[in-house]
Amino acid sequence: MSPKKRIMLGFAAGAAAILTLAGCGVTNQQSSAADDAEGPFYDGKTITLIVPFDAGGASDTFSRMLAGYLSEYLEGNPEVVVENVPGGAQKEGLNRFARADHSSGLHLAMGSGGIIASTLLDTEGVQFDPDEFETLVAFGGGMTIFGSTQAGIGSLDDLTASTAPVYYGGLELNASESVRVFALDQLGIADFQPLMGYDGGGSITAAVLSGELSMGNSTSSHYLTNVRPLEEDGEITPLMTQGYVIDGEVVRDPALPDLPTMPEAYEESTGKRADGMGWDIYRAMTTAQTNLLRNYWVHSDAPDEAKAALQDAMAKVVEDEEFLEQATELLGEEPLAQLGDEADASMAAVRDLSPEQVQWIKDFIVEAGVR
Amino acid sequence: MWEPAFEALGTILSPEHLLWLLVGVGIGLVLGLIPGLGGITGMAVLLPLIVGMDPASGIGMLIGLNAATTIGDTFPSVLMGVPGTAASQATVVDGYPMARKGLANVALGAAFTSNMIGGIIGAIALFLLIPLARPIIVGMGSPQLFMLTLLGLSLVVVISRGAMAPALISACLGMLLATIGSASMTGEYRFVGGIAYLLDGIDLAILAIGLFAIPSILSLLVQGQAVAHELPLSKGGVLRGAREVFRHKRVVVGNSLLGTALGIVPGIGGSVIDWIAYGATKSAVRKDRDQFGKGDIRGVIAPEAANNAKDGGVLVPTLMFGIPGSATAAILLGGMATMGVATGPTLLRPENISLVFVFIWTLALANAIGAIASGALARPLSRLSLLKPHSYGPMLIVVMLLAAYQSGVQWGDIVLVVVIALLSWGMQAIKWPRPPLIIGFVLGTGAENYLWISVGRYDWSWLTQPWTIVVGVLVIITLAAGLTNSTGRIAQSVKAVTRRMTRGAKTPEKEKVNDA
Amino acid sequence: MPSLSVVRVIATGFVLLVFAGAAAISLMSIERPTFWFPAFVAVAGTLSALYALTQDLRKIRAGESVVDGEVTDLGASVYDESAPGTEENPSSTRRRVLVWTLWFLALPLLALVIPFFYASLLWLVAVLRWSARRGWISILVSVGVFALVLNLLIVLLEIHVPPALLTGWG
Repeated sequence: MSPKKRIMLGFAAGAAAILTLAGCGVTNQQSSAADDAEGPFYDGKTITLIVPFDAGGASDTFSRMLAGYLSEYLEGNPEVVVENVPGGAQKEGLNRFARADHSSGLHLAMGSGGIIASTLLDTEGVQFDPDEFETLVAFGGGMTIFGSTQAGIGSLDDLTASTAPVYYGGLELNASESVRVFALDQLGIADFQPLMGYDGGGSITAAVLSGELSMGNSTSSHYLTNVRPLEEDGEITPLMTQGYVIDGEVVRDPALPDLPTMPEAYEESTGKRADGMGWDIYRAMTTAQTNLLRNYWVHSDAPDEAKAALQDAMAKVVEDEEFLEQATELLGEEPLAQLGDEADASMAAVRDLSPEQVQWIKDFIVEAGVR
Repeated sequence: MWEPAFEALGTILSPEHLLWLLVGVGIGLVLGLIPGLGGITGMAVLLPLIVGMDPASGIGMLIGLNAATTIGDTFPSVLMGVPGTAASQATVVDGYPMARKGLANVALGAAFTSNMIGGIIGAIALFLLIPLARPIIVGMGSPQLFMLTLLGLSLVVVISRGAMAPALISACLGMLLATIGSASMTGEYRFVGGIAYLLDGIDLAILAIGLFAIPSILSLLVQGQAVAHELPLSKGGVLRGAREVFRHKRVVVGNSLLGTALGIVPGIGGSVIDWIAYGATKSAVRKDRDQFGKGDIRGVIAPEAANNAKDGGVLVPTLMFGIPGSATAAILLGGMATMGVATGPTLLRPENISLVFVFIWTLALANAIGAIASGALARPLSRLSLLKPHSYGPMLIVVMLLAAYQSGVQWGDIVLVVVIALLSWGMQAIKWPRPPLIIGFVLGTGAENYLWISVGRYDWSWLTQPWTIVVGVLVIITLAAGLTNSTGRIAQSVKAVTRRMTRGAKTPEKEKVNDA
Repeated sequence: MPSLSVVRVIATGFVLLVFAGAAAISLMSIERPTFWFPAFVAVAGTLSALYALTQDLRKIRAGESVVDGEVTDLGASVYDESAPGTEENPSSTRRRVLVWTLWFLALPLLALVIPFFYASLLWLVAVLRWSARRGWISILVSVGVFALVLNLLIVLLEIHVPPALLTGWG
């Protein structure tokens, strides 16, 4: 064997050795070496939090921040890793969560209340059962409707008095959007036209600024952090919010307490009470959309010990001053937090829509889509 | 205006900021070098790291990474004919033939110089566009955006040579592929045929890897021969390439401005901007136009200048309106939120303006550092073109399958990329041009959404809006010029008009630039 | 083995069918606005495929090849002129295209049974040994180095690796 070959062989052997040492990173298996030991359940383990959104969005950013605090408050300080599984409008991520092995309690998932509502309508590609999800904590977040000064909408009265068509822009006419379209349609606007297909909150804002849209919506959080300056410049006017549902009633968004909710606006402009099938559905969907904007779930198959530890830690996280401060800075508003049972009650309000109500939403989407 | 600019310069020249910038640039170069992996992978990895970081340093790292990916991606594009990222596909058309002639280092030198100039011009344009940002974004309504996507699509006929029918088939196929999945307006599923994987549609990254990267590697492996058999200009070739750029000042400056302007338009993105730059340059030059596609250095300069300049343009809607102009810009926005930096109109307030300058300086600096580092690597790495493909091809296939898997993290990704790769290899064999497919795919989605909104909002009256007509006339001229294949004069006037218009609409203060 | 011209005509015919099918689906749902754009694209595609088909057929009847023209495309191609002094014959090119297609398919198939990382190493050894005809030592070294680098990338960039679907390993 020539010296050169010997060097190469040595190199190869060395490489192989390092490889066996480092090779544990190349499979998806969690190393659970620290099992069975005495001490806290999560000691030395790694928890995966599945976030069904792209990296970088508000939900992802918020989840990453929450993961840090969860790790801090869980006994044993396990690492909490966020795994982004975007796709299929959250379905991909939640399917993966449902498929995961829950016997070790190492998987959590995040998802919006909207997806729970929309699984009632659109079952295509849904391989998870929301009844098996146990909510650890749910964070709320409202929606704000704002008008375009350029298009001559300066107040609620301008909307109802307008004889010109009123254009309202949104991203996609899904279950959550359909109740806003319904509520606006009920206001008594002479010629109301929903326009869907914008590719993000920013595009809607730009269209409202130019007067292409008379009204747009955005999350209250986006409104407070991004749109508010335009309000101060007099280019847009906030009109109403979707509100939160407390004890079955729609109440004002605490972040924007001066704005009426959509049912309030309806009652004011028409003099009628917001009753009937459509408004019942509005309240149920609003529960899903705003009260339960961001849910953090553990699977019901997870060991009880794990659930208890997680619930305990989450209760401490939402009390943490620093966490609330950071969340407020990120979202522009302090998120409403609902723990375990309270959140489960909100979830039940959504899951309990009757088949007739589900059919009503489906019909409404079809009808509004071809208008 | 000047005081915050110098304050920002002071911030970014601090050692800590420079260190993070270098980290970003380093990772970006590596990611660009590896075909299939791009800025998105890197941004997603760095995102958790910036929690609690000083905003200027975080911006330095993310922007540095982003700029460097579009520099590093030139290596595989030129040396192996494999686009390093989707943003350097057009570079392959002339860059790879240059490598086959043994001029890899010249092509690389020209590319990096164009990258640097383009990036710096993009940064300057970002600076100049700050006061104009709002009128531009607000002025671009859905009808205008629709017409711009049509203009982009019409370039298919300019780029294509020879028979037009296969190019049209290819573009239509691309648009049809883009409609697979849930429709963005109604959420209704189209052409999914009950396959759960398709509900989400086809991912651009998978299409780009399957369409160009894998077939190119497979072809190299079949040939079994090194790309070039000698490097006649092994010494000084890189510098020679750099000098070539200065001989084609108009090409590099014109395309930098074009790239910036296109970056502002939401929904176009790097994977098409390089083609538009390539097509526009090809139709605008008078001399030796038939050299394009055979190793013309202008075909390398144009897309490389444009794809780095676009980063400046993309930041305009991203920073001023929170409208992410690209997928990486969306992650950047998330990063800003993590660091507690408000984006949107507040960024233009006097107290925040120095942060905007941090972006501008960082962009310019990152492009300069990235290009110089790549230039230094160009000479040793260009020797890769002398290696037999067996020594790197199989490894690249492994890497590219892994890269495809990252887009959806499911087995369907691998199945799809394998199917696309084999079909695309077949398309290449029967001389069906593939660039129109990717252009149709990217612009098809935008065209549909913007048309939908335009009709819903204005019925058909948007057709009579002045800007619609102006762009419409441009589309018709482009089509006529491409189809009649007239040698230059019509295309020349299109180019001149476009130039005047983009200058008039977006950068009035730019000096007059004409193409040769 | 049919000539490329024939393959192209068959491919055009196939694409014509795809477009026509998509057009039929879209036109049947034309009352839903979601299908307006697909209908437009599919009809345009059908027309251009028809046009391409007639042109190609006309050329073939005139005895010309339909795949000789120049197109703008990119990257390496199996028809790139080879280096001087190394004569190529079409049948050996065809054989190697088949061999590499099979190799390319072998990797994902192997990864169905063995976790991707290990599958890729095995595959590399096999490819380098049987198709590239490299010596064992150089194979060991290059695959070892590649494994290291890949492992580093996977760990540092948090790259996901496909699990073996059939065996559930990984």
